[in-house]
Amino acid sequence: MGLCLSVGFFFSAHQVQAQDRTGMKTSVAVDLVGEFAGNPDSEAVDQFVPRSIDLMFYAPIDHLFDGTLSVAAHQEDGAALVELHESYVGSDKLIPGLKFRLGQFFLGIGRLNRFHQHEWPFISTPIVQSRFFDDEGLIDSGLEVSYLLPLPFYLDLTLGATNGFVYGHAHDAGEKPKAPTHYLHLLSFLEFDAIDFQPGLSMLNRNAADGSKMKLVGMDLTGKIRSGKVLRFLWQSEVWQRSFTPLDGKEEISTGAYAFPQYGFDSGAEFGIRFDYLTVNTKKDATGSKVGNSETAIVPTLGYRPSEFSTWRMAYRIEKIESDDTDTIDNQVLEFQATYILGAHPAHDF
Amino acid sequence: MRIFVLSLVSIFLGCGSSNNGSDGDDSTFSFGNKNYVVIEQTTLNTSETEVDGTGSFIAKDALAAVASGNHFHIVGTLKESSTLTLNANTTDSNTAGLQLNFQNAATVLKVSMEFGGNSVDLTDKFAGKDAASVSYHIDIHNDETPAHVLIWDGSVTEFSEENALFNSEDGPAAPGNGSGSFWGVTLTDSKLTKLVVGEPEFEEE
Amino acid sequence: MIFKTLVLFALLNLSSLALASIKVVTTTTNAKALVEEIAGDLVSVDSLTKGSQDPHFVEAKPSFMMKVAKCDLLVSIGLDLEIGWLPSILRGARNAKVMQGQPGSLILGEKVKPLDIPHGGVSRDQGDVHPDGNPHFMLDPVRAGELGVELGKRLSELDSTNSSQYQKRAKLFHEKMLSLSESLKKKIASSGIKEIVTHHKTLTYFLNRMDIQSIATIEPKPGVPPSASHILGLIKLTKSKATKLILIENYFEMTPALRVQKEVPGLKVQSVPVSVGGESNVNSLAQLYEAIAKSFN
Repeated sequence: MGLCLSVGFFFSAHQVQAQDRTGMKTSVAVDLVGEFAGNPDSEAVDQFVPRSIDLMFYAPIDHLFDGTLSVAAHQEDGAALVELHESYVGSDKLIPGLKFRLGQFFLGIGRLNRFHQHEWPFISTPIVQSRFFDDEGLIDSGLEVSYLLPLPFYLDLTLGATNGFVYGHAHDAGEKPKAPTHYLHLLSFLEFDAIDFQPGLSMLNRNAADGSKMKLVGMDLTGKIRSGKVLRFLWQSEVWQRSFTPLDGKEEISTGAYAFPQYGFDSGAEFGIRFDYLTVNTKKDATGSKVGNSETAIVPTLGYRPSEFSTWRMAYRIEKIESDDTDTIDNQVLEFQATYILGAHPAHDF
Repeated sequence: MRIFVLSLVSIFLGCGSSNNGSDGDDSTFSFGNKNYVVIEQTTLNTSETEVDGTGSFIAKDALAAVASGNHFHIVGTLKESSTLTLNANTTDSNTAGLQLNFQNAATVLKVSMEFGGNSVDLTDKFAGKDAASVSYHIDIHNDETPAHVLIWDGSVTEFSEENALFNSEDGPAAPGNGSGSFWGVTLTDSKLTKLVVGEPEFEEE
Repeated sequence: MIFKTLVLFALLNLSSLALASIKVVTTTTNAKALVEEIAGDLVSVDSLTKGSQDPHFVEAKPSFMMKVAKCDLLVSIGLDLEIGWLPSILRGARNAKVMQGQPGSLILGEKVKPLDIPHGGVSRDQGDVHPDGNPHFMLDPVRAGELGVELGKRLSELDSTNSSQYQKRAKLFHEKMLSLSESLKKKIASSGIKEIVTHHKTLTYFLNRMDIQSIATIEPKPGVPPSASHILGLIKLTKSKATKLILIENYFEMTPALRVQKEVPGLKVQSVPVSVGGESNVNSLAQLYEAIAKSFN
C-alpha cells in the first residue's frame, strides 16, 4: 500500500490574521490506515501506517489572484518521500462566473478525483478509480477553466488541458505526448425538498508519447440529505468507460463503477456499503472467443465523526476477481482508518 | 492398388501424430495443463511436458488487460546460438509485445529487452549464469510507463527488489510497453520445459 | 391593435429596466429580515438558509452559488459563523463584486462590538469556539437597530437613487428597536426570572440586553453534546439555584433539557425560535424578539 504523508496546518481566520497579515492559511491533514488479512489468500499488507500527510498553504497573492500549495509526504519502500501535489495560481475575480487555475493540480473531473483522499467517505480506493486513474487521483500540470453558465439553473462547465507527459503515479518525468491531455466536466445541481443531487459528466482524452490513445467517459452522481450537523444520507457513485488503444494494438474497452450509500446517525456514527465493479468488455481469448470477466468488491464501512476535524472508520473489503479462463481470486481485508485535521480545514464543497 | 492404399494410410497416420494433448486442431496444443495457439509453426514439437524446435505461440487465455501486471516463470534449455523469447503483452498475432530474449552465445548468456525496434542489453546483469539454461521468474508491470520489469533467478521463492537480478527502475529502463493483452513464447532451436503465468510477485508500496 | 400591444410591451419592459432593483443575498433569515426593514420593496432579497436551520452547519449547495453569482450585495454575519460553508460558495459564485472588502460585501460582525471574546489561548479542545466573539448579535434588538443604520449606509452607496429612503427607514427601524427593547425588558422583568439555562450561547446578546443571566448551557462545550455526568451536574446546579426556565433554540434536541426538567421541580423547558421564519408566526425581527420574550411568562 502506498503511504502518503501530506501535512497541512490550517488556523482559524483570527489566528492567521494575528500571525500573518497577508492572509496566508495553512492546514495539516493526516490519514492513518491499516489493513489486515481477512482470509488465507488475502493480499493485505498486515500493518497500520500513516498513508498520507498533507500540508497545504493557501493565500490571496494580491487583489486579483490566489495561490495554493499542497505538499504530500508518502512512505515508499520504507523511506519517506515528499512530493509536490498541488501548486497553482488562480482567480475567480477577473470575469464574472469564471474561475481558472494554472499550475499543478488534481484534474477537475469525476467526483473522487476532485477531492483529497483523506476527504473521501471510505477507506480504500474503488477498483475503477485505482485502475483508470491512480490510487490517490490524477495530478498533472496545465490550465483549467471553469465557467458558471448564464442559465436559470446551475450548470458549471470545466475545461482543462495538461502536459500529459505522465499519467498517474510515475517515477520519471515521462515523455512529451502527441497532444496535451484534455478534459471536460459538466456539473449540475438538482434541489428537492428532502434531498439534493449533483450529477456530473466527464470526458478525458490522452494521446501518449508511445502512440497509445486513451479516452475516458464518465458520469458521477452525489446525493445528500442533511439534518443540521448530521449528514443523514449520502449517495456517491461514478460510472466510467475507458477505451485504450496501444500503438500497434487493438482497442480495449473497460467499464467500471462504484456506488456508496451511507446513513448517518445523530451520535456521529455512519454506516455505508460500497459496491465496486470492473470488467474488460473486449476481453477475448487467442481464438477470438469472448471471455467473461469481472472484478467486484463489497465494502461495508462503519464510521464515527466526533467533529468535522476527525474521522474514525472500520471496513471489511471483500474482493473477487473472476474470469472464464482463470480460477476466482478471493481477497478479503479488514481495514482501519483514522484521519485528523490540525487547524481549520478549508470549507468543503457539496 | 495395394501401394496406393498403403500410401493413403501413411499419409493419414503421419498427419495426426505430432501433437500430444491437443484437441485435434493443428493450431492449438496443451502444455503444462494450459492451452496455447500456434502463430508460427516452423519445426515446433509440442507435448504436455515440453515444447521444442523453432516457432512461436501464444497462450489461449489472455491477460487481464493490456495495462496489467503479470508474473512469468520460464524454464528451458538453449543449444549454442539458440534463443528463447518471452513475448509479454503482445497482440493476438504475437506482435508489438515487450520481448525478453535469452540467447546462448557460447560461454555467455545474452539477455535483452526489445520493443518497437529498440533493444536494451541486459547481459551484464546475468554474468556468470549458465548460457545453456533458462530458469527465471519475471514480473512485467505493463500498467506502469515504461513497463516495470523485474527478473529473479528461478530458485528464488521470496521476491523483492533487493534480490532481483534485474530491476528496470534501477536502469536500464524498458524500451516501452507491450501493446496487447496476450503473451507467448518464440523458440529458435531451443526447448521449453516450464511456463507459468500468474499475479505479479512484487507489489509497489 | 398589434402596434398598440407592441408599444405597451416595450413600455412595460423599459419601465421594468428603469425600476430594476439591486439584488441582495443574505446568509441568514435574520439578516434578510433586517434588509426587508431597511429596504422594503426597493431591493429583492433572498436568504441562503432557512429560519429552522442551524447556520453553523449548512451544505454549500451549488444553488447558493448561483444566487450569490447574480447578487449585488451579500450580507453575512461573520465572526466565523459561516466559515464552514460560505467561502466555498464565494469560490463557486465567482462574483468579484461581493468578495470580502468590496462594497458588495457587508459583514455585519465587523460592525458590532461582540460579546464572549475568549481570553487567553483558543484551541479546539474548547469545542467550536468563535475566537472573535459570539456571532449571534442579531438577537439583540438594539444592535439590530444599529446595524440597520449601517445597512442603510451601504445600500445608499450601491443605490444612491434611493438613498434618502434607506436612511429614513433605517432611522425609523433604529428608533423602533430601541423602544421595543425597553418594553420587552419590562415584560421579562415582570416574570421575576433572573437566571436561565440555554442549550448553546445563541441567546447571549438577547439575555444581556434584558439583564438576564445564563448560568449554564446544556452543551458542556460549544458544539459538544452533553454527557450523562454533565446532565447530572446541570440537575444539581438548577436545583441549588431554583432555576425556573431552560430555553432551547428550536433547531436543537429537547431531550437533554427534558431530562433535567424531570428531576427539578418547577423548572420549565421552552423551545424558542432564534431566527425569523423559525416558527410560523415569526416573520420579522420584532416578532422574533417578542416570541423569545413571551417564553419568560
